[in-house]
Amino acid sequence: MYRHGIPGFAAAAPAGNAAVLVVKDERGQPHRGKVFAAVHAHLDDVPYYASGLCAKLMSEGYTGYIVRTSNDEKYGGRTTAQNILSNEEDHFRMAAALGFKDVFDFYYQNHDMNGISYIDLRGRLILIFRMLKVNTVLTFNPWGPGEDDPDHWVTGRAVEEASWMAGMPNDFHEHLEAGIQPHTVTERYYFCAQPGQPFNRVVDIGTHIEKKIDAIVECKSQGNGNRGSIVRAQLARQGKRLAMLGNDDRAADRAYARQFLLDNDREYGKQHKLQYAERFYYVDHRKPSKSKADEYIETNAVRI
Amino acid sequence: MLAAIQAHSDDVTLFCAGTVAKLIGEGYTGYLIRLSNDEKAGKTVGQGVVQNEIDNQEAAKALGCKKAFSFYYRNHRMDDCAMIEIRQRLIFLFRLLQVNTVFAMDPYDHYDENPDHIVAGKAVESASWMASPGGGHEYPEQLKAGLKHCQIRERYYYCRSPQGHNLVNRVVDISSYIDHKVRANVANKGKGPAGDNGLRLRQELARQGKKLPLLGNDDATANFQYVKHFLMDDFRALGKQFGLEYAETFRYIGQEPDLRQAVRKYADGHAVPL
Ligand SMILES: [Zn+2]
Ligand SMILES: [Zn+2]
Repeated sequence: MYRHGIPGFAAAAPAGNAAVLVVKDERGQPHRGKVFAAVHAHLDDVPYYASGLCAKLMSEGYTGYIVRTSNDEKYGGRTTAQNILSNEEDHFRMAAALGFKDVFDFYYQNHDMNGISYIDLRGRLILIFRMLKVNTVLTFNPWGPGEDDPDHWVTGRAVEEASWMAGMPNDFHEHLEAGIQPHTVTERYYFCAQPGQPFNRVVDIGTHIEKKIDAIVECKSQGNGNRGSIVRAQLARQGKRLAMLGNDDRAADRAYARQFLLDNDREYGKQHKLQYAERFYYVDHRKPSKSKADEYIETNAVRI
Repeated sequence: MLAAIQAHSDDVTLFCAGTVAKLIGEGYTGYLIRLSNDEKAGKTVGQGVVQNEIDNQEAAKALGCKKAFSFYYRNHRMDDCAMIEIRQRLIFLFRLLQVNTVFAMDPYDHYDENPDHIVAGKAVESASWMASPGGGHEYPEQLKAGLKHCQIRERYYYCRSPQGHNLVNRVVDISSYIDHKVRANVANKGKGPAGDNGLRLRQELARQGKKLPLLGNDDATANFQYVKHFLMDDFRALGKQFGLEYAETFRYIGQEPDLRQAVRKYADGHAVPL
């Protein structure tokens, strides 16, 4: 669940002494052939924390997949069962709006994910990372301070562990029998989800903001995606209207999101003279093609 | 396809190897799946796990299984494992191998003191139906990875404690496959009462200047005869009750009646013109 209006977001410090890299759009399709998985707990996590980056990566050649770990049963304002259904439907629409190739829903019990079998979750992620040959993951920072939603840190930690274990042939070795090979996830983008969480990348999402709004307005069961149309209807009942909300529900939701739901992105951008930005703690585990030892051997080996 | 699932390298060999070999002899393709790492049986933990890993492979060969799998959960501690994760892995294998029939330790085997047995039995029991299309579409990502649902229609529950035998509803004549069962037990060098005990007895007697004609003139014969003569008593006794040379007993759970077919049959027989 994304919560609005938490004070101190914009003042959050960069990670330790690490320099912050401002990442702009890249030309062409430099990431063609690469795959990323955005793994979040709830319908509105990726839309708010990372949908700009998701749109950017896909526009630069990545194929994107999205995994939702919880069933979101606590949000939607209806019965638990109806909430699960409405979040499920919203999630499919949100994923389609961003252009994800496929959606995986795990449906672990919302708010209670620190009580599930953690290793079951990890096993499922390992299968997905291997079968899709995922290069890059986007998820919660399992070490991020102030994270009081257990679904968030459990998801982040499981992704962190699954990322490297997916490359180990003795973990879930039965996958190899099915022709699904070990595969290490080498790049991670951790969300900056709470004030004070570290970041070392500020991603310029100015050209992708419409996609981000597309994603947010599909978050109707939670995430205020339909707030604009609700306000418009309320005003109409009082015989009033707001010009900024336009003439239909879709326009109202988009206008509302643009005006009221992107403050963090604007604030993050402002500090770097960008219109909109998202923050991430980026971890790069890509190995150089040759190790130091290989290079030494190549240079120094002599004939016997 | 059959999958014989055991917690330990000597469970299937001791309690259902004859029936597994019989079904393979009659056309089944068989797989042996061991869930624990058997670390408690060996001079050191390391030596124990290596020997039992070899034993599991060799027992599978003796039974005619196509392949053996091991999950390596810690021996005697499987009640500390996440059952749901074991189930996830079994569902994966059942779907991958398109298993129709499973052998597992009876999860209702009264007075079984070994937690690994009970956990293994419960995990197999639930994985068996959840791997099927009627199992609630568990782990849909496995289907996206190219696996297919499977239909497990037959379950053979074996048990080790005599008290558990009150649940028996199937007696299998294993007389023609007793030698397969013996060879599978001989393959269990790391634990259990079989393994190399025959050759050890032969060597001990030789040191005393004696021999037992039963044990023959070489180590392989000694091991085989030792197991067949001394360790198959329970199965001879079971057979005797039913006029058989050797038998194994099971709680057998077969295919559930197909309600839709029954309704269709009733409709066909009773429908009248409007
Ligand atoms: Zn959330
Ligand atoms: Zn056992």
